[in-house]
Amino acid sequence: MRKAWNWRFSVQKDILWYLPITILIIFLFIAPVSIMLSNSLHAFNYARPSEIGTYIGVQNYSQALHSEAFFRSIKRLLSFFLITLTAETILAIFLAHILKGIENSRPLLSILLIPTISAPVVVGLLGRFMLNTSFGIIPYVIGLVFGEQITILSEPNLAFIALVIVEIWHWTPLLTLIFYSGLIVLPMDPYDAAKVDGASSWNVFWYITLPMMMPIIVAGVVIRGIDLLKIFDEILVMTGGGPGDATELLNFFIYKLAFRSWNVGQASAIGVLLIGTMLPLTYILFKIIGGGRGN
Amino acid sequence: MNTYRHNRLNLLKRIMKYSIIGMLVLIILLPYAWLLLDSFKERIDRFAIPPKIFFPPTLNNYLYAFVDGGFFQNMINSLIIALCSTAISLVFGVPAAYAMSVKKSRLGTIILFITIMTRIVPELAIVVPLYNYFNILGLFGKHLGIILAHVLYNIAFVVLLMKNFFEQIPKEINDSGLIDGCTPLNSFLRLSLPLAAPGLAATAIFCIVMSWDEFVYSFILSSESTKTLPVAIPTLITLFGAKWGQATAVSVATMIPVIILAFIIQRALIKGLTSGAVKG
Repeated sequence: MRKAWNWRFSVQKDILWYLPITILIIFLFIAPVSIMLSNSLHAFNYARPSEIGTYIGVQNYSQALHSEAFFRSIKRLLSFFLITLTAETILAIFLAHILKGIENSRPLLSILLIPTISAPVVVGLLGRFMLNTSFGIIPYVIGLVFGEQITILSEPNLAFIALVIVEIWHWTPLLTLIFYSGLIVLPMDPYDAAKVDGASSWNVFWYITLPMMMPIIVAGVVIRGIDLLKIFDEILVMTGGGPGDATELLNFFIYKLAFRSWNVGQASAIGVLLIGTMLPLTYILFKIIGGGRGN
Repeated sequence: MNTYRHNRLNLLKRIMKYSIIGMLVLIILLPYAWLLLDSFKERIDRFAIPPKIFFPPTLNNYLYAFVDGGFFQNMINSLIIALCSTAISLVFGVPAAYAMSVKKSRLGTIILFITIMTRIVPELAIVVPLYNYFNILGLFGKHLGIILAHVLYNIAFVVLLMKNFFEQIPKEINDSGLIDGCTPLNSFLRLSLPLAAPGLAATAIFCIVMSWDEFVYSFILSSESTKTLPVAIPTLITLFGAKWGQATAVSVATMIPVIILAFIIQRALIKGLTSGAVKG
């Protein structure tokens, strides 16, 4: 009996340790993904109930790939992604560097945490509220400075820029925290050597700090990039995708397709394509994380 | 002369450094301060031009939202969902994290890969089939449905964080337990888990914060009676007009608990948020 007990819970027979999470993953992840895969190959549009369930091959995919709105939402997401990620990364490297030179950084870290733990919905509301034409503080200040009243959220380009700025405001602090926590554990020896050699502070930053920080920069950018590609909540609250479809990024497009046009089949097809594109990202993150003792 | 110039340059640098930090703090905090201020304003003060900083404060927005309006129920929903989903995520995720930290195995690697995948796939892609799936299972609009969706949302964080915490425990402790005749289960429960307790607490609080803030799953999978706080906020701002007073009050109420938690476990939370990026 004792032996059996030992065998069953031995780490060598590690199946038991992984059993709970395996059940969970099958029930909550594999099952919905399989359903999505199957839905993507069938007609599934609540607007045409009689056709639901008919096998139609890759028709959902080809329809999605021929939809101009779909490509517009991807193009918008990509430009949003590139602008925001670049700005956030440069700002965060700069801020982390400054933060390192501060003696008592603890209160500052707390302040950086506040946007990071704010619900995206609250931040979206904050954006909408501060940019509101009738009482928002930002249009008011702009009005004072330029003597001209502007409506930001009803102007397609301005609404897009506003969304970019809100996103940068919301998430640069997190990236700063990531870079800062990598910066403070860097070894001191190269800095001492540089000091002896009389290197300028710019050279020290460019030739010592930046290369040593590279792994953490890559990790931070990957993590931030993944979350950026998911952006939805802020858009829903701040602009509702508008004006027109100016701030309709990919996720919002899927939402409209599935829950407003009720074309679940096509939304599933796009979901499958999206998961396919994100597989390489999974591999990169897996490589970054998987370097520990266990794996 | 040279040192004098050097000192002046240093002073200038210091001034620049602190003014940048000061600006950063202002840029981060001012919008929140404005939101907080506005949540105490009557309608007439909110729409005043120029904007008012001094006004007779009122608690009416909070009273309307939480006493008359149904937002107290939303808060209870948020609490139930956050606590239950965190507990379930821990129960299902911690054993796997422990096994991964003890021994490298093919199964563990596969599980880790899929777990990371659950973190990467956009919630909006998964929620489309989840909506049908939960409808069939009768979980749509129920607390349990949202709780399970939040478990999916949090499980990757549990595994990654706890794996990290377990890896920091010296391997010898675990081995000594096994040599002294502990079963692996006992060695896990009596040695590793107590040693990782601070990590476990930090992971739990991290999950609670994530679940409290989560939007997509709660938004799509909830019915009128199971809406969480973040889902309730957009309902106040519609095409036909916005109840700004209540919206600001509910936003403040959504923020305060997580801010308090964040200040209690600042270090652990930073660790959670930077998990994957920073080792150790």
